[in-house]
Amino acid sequence: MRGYKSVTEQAVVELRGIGKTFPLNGVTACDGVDLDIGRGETLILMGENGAGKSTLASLVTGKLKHDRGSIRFAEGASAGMVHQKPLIIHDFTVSDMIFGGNRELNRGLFYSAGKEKARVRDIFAELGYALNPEDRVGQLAPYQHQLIELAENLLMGRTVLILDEPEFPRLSSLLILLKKKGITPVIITHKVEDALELGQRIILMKKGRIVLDRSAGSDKLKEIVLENLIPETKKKPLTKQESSLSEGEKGQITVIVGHHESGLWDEEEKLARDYLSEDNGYIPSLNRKKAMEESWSVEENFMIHRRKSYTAPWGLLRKKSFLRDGMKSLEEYGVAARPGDRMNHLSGGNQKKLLLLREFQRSGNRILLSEPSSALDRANRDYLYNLIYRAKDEGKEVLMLTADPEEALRLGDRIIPLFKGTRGETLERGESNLAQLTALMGGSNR
Amino acid sequence: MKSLIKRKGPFLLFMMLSAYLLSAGIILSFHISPQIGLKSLFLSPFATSMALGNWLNRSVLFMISGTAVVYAFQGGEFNLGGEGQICLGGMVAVIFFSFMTGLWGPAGVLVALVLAAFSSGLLSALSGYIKNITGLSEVITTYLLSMGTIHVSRYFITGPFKDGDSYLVTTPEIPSQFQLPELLSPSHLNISLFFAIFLVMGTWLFLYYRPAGYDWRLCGVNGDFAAYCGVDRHKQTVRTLFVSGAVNGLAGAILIMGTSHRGIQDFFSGYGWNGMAVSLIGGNNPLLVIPSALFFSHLVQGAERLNLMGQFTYPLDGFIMAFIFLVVTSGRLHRD
Repeated sequence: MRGYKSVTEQAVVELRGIGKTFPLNGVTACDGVDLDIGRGETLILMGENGAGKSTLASLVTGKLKHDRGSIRFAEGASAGMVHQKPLIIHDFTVSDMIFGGNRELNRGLFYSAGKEKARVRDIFAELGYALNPEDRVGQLAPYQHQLIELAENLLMGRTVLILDEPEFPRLSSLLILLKKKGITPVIITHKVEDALELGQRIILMKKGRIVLDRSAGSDKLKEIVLENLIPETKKKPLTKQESSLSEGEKGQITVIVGHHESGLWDEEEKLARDYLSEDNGYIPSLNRKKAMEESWSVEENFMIHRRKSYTAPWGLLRKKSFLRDGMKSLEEYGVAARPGDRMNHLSGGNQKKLLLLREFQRSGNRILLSEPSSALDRANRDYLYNLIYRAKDEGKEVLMLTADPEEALRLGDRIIPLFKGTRGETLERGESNLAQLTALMGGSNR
Repeated sequence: MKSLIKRKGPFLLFMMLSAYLLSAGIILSFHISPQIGLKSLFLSPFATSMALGNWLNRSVLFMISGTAVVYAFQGGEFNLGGEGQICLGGMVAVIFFSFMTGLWGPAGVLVALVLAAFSSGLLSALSGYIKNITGLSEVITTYLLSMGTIHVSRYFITGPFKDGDSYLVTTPEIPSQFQLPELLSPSHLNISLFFAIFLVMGTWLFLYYRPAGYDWRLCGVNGDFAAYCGVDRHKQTVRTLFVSGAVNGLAGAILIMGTSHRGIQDFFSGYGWNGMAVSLIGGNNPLLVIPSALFFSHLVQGAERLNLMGQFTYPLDGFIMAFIFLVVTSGRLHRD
């Protein structure tokens, strides 16, 4: 033990001078991070997209290897992660998803399905969520995918759990349960309100460094956090163009608002079929897999809808002239990407921006957005809202699906509440307030 | 082009080097006189102009059947029916020529190519159709249909179309006006060399520079994304398998017209599976099919030479192919 500083009584993980640089693009995602995670404390990790939160999490769980510094765990401690979008196999059942191929949980030669199912059922009952081990994973909601990963981590006996943008309903009671089991939760989130409500300690990262470390209840915490979250941007702000259209000719923003359990995704699927038949914009809710191909280049992803219009006499694609037009617009909107870069070398924020830009530039008169602001930081959210307003000014019909009533009230000219798969009465702008809308989403007031 | 070599080149080189090293290793361990063994494996294709021509001719056929596999993989479909599709293409050519003995040569060749491509394409597209209707995977149906076709072809070769005068189990020789002009007599190399290069370049242009090729690759790389971009996946499945089968049909017809000149029993043997190896070594890239085919046919030719000399009866090319499939499927398919 000589030469090592012993882990303190309370700390369950001790990070010293952690650094990580990705050799592929030379980005330093973590730069000298010192952090002690105390046993049983709810730690909140915040920061804008690309601040290094996910990288830090991957370093702690061991998914990535750090270049510099040291990570020390307390005796018997280990870290696991519940991803924002866990990788799933659609055709697997819940218990197959947890046990299949898991060496830590299946040491024997065979695995007994009955026993495993009982274990899965027990753990979900304990957590207070009804999830059948025999359900097909592909048919579940995203938060249930997170739940599966959570159960897997619990069964493997992880004592530090990193929850990336957890979407569980009743999160606070879940956290209490976890702590009773002796687990230290670390939450990565963009939601300031959630962070202040749930966290005992708030860490804020910026450019791979920790810039703020406060315990909950300290003075003016909310103001300080908000101030630190405002990104330093060199990008030129989108200027609202003077519209030549009069008020009557402008487009409208319609928002369908409801909980995921109310069938928001079914609604999206129904609408999408209609939108895809023409050159309308469409941002799907789980856009990472559906709306782009990560192994392809930026150029190939960006020109996808216009592949038919950039053709030379022999019917060959004129990539060069496309690039001139397309890349110029990317630059204009502050997306740092070269045409030849692979999509998965871009940061999450830039990927999303590129996607938004591509869809808003389509020629059709309508745009369908399904939860476009999820996992966006504040700067990118403003960017999105500007795009939406501008589309409206250009006379486009914007239809947005969201689970966030505040966002609905902020953007919607017309708001349609959704409850258990049926649409409620349409509300015009100014006709509703947050309390009423929340109630409508919950099925009351009918 | 530069980025292509940078991305896929190292893998190609690695496969070539390790396959050669492996075969050298096997020969050194098992051959009676390793020196002669190594020499015949590596140098026999260059020994005479006939050997050189045969090596190139085999490469040509591998390029065509490899391109068929490229089409399938790039479109996200598994076409395991290469053998049967090549067989069908060849048989269609043989039967067509046996009825049209008086036809002008070039016209007959063209019509035979079209017929062969069309019939093999239909055979393969049937698997796509079955997949769309019943959900049965094309992996199994292409293979089964291919096996069935091979047995039917055996009936034709040993029955109605058998050449009674020959000691071989074969159909009569096709009329000489339909035999492709040779380039490097007395080897089998013929003008299909130019066709193969044309086919490879055309495939490359199509897949990477045509809007339809864009759709093609979209389906191969990410089905959800393809649907999102408005590609009809069911249609594309049938289209992909049709084209893949059609190219195999071309390989079969060219095999008959340029190399064997008659429907010898199992004349197609090996070309379907080797085409798959060729495509996989080249990372399913149309352009890399050329070096990959040259390499693989060199290896097969050398191995055959070893067998002919009678001192080394192990199926060396089988070992190498197993090795290639193992390496490729363990990492390559998942990454691309």
